Amino acid sequence: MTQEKRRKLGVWVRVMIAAAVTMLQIIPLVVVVINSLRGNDEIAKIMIALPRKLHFGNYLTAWERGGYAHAYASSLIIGFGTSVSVAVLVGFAVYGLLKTDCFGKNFFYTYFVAGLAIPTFAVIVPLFFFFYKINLINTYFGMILIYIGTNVSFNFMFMYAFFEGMPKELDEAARIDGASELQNMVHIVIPLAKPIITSVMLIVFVNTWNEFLFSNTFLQKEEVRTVSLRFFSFVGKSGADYGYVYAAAVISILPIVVIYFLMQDLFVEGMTSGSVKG
Amino acid sequence: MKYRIKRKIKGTCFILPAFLLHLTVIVLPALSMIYYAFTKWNGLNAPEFIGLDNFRRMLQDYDFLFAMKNNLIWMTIFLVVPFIMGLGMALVFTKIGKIQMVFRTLCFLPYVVSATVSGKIFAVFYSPYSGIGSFFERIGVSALADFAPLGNEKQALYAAAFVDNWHWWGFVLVLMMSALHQVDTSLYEAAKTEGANGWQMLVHVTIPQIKPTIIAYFVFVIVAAFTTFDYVWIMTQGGPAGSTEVFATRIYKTTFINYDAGYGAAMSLSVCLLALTVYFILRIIQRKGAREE
Repeated sequence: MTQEKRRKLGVWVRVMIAAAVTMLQIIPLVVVVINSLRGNDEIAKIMIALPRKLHFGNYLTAWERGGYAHAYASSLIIGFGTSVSVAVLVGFAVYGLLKTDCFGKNFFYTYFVAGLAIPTFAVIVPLFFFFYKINLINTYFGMILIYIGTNVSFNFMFMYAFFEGMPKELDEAARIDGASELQNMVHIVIPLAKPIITSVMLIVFVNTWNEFLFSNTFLQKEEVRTVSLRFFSFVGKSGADYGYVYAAAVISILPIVVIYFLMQDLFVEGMTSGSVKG
Repeated sequence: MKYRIKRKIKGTCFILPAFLLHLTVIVLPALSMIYYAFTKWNGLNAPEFIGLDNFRRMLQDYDFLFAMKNNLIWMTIFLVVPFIMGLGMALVFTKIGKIQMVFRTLCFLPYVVSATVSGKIFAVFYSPYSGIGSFFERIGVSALADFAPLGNEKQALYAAAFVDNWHWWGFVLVLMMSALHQVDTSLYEAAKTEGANGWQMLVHVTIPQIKPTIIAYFVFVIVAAFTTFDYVWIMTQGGPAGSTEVFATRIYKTTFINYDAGYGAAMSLSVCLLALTVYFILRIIQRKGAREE
């Protein structure tokens, strides 16, 4: 065999391995999608098979029985509320640190970065009873406050790294022209920072959509529970109606999967950058 | 002078909202937990100071101490399995041209699926009535018909870890792929001209080059394993017969089901201090290692 042939063969073997692993990886999700269109009795008979007839009705039943209208409202309110707040609050903080003259630069920087090291379980016990006392359990507002807190540190580091690499000349020029801090921010910095702002909002939105520990603890009333939490209880009360369970699973993950496929570059970059850099 | 202070106050005002909010919902609660750990408290009444009693109780609480074994098993699994899968597949993926993007996108997909959905769906797969076991029984493979790992004390923890790994290794893959991407290709060429084979290149070129990423991965896994919660809680809630209890499920039950919040705070404080201590020790070793090179 010539060297060229051997190299080509090597590439083919690798492609086959990659394809096989990828197939195994997504089979569970494929089964979920197929079974979401099968009848309950069919699934009860045999777990994996193609649908004999497409049961789109599963989705309607799951949507109604699972109370997904409420659940979507909860997840969207909490998700948008948190992602906008985090982008604004963290954006302001990073701007203040990097672009203005302010007190305690080192202190604030160290504070936000050190926040990453605080384990979730150090917070949840006292916070629950504190929120209980001031009536913030079962409220969107309380949930958004918590999520802003848990998302600040990571996104601070993410945004800080971006702003640090931004050219200084532009806003210096604006300042010489007599622009105020706010004018400079709105007209110069924000347009340049659009990609990072989108990225932050995206990551935060997905985090809140999928989060379990805090939401399961702080949102106990059915009508405020998020999409992910609803699925948790839906499986419990569905018994053997597996067609509905699989349809509910698709309903629960669809928005995130669609966002992922549409904006995966922003997504993957944002989620992996710095998250395991210690 | 006055003008300068005014300007500084203005600048600080940009930072304060994020700072104060984070302080209120994260840092102050975390600090207050240190006090609650020394009290008898049900979360509602005034906490009663009892000194070290909670910690003495913890040392005799075998349910809690036993949980550590599961945390260690969990840690070992995640130090090995996703690392080998992630790095191994990253090595395969980075040598097959543009099509790698398709595979990468699909392998990463489970990472965006929420823990409740993946946990509960796999619980359905694992169920003897509706899952893989019943499927094998149906097609006549009776050896696998009894497959019901969540009901088995010896298998349940591994069954839950399997799902967490399914969700997480694609993330490790992407991480390793971006690390491999940054390795200087001239190093490989130099190794090749010296006659190195594939394995030698991996051990002597690739792994040393991506060492920072690998170490950061290990540190993250070790620290995170102390407080792992989601998949265990969603799939088994610590059962069957307590065989999958981890620190976090014990803390959760003590605090939010038994309302023994003072004791819960003491457990929580101990686990967090343990995790933080390990984290700082690892960081010191990491820095020392980096300096020696």
